[in-house]
Amino acid sequence: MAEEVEMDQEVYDKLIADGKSERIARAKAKAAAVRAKKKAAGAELGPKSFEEQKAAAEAAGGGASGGGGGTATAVAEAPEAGGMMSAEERQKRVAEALKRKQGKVADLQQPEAKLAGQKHTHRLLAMVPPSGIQQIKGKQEDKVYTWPHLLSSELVCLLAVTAALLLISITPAFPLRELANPNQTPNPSKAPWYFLGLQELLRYFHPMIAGVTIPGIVGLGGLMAIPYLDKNPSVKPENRKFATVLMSMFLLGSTILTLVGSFFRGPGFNWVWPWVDGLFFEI
Amino acid sequence: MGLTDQGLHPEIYDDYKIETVDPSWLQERVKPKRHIGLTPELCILCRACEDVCPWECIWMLAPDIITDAENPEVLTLAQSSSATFIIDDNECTRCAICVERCPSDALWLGRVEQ
Repeated sequence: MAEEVEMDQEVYDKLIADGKSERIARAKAKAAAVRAKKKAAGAELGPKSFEEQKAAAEAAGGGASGGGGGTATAVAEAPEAGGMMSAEERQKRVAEALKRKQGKVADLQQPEAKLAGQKHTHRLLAMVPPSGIQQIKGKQEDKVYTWPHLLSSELVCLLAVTAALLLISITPAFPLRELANPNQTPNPSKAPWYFLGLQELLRYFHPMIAGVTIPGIVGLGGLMAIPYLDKNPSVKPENRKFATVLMSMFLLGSTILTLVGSFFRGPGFNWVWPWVDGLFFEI
Repeated sequence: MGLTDQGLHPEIYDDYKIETVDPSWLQERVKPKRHIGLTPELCILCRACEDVCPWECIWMLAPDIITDAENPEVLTLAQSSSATFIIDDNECTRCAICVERCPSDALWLGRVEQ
């Protein structure tokens, strides 16, 4: 721990009066006190000459190795002044070291002389053909920012669709009917057109089968199972006959059921011929 | 004692002449009778092998370091290639650090067929 140093009160007061911060004023006042003390003891302040430094180092180190941590050989090679060197001595050492280094470089530049008699045969491991390097197949395409390139056109689409919906909904083509009367249900009571295929199924099967088993287990479950059943990796239509036939049959079946439910079912959901009994279908 | 052990670096040349590997030259070394091999189709030219080699004995070099070859076909092949890999079998200790480092498994350690 640093020993407590008295400070020069006069200097401190002057610095505080000059507007210096308290911390700086205290430090400067302490430094002034130390300087005054040293001067009183007869020490000479300011930079010292080399001889004086050498003498001071010898006095401090007691003649022992001044290098501080140098090895035995280092100490032996070091000048007797305990690691202190004059500028001339240092220059001389640097010059000697450079000379040694240059000699070594010169040695390295003559490998033939060093490795005489040795044949330099290296083995060719491989030649990598241009096609051998793994290449990225996909080409980097030009990119544009989402705004404004995408969002502006999306905004236009949004406005157009809204306008179209508004126009359709204010035309009197699809008026609301009168209030529903539970005592007077419409006959036939038909679902929206996209459910009429299912409603048609109800004519043939128990509600559990027509409403749950066929759409849920066969429809959804079957759809989920397709990737596990049909593991054909090809994306060419001609290689996917099974999948194509399966999808076509599903579409055909649901289309027939929907058409029958829509146009060939009349009062009591009984069979009618639309060109004989009229059309019992509303969107 | 390898060159790197002496603080030196192996010499790289730019005037190679390709000759067929002499099996006796390959076998005369006291080192393990296995050699580093490289499958060019797998190489991605990342130079990781060069980077890790403690003996600095495997180099990826430009193909124009090959100035001549016994077989003219080989010379054409060399000149049209993307890179050539040269190994100094005298320096190589078969430590196989490069084999382990190779990210695409292009390097292998095995017997060179005679």
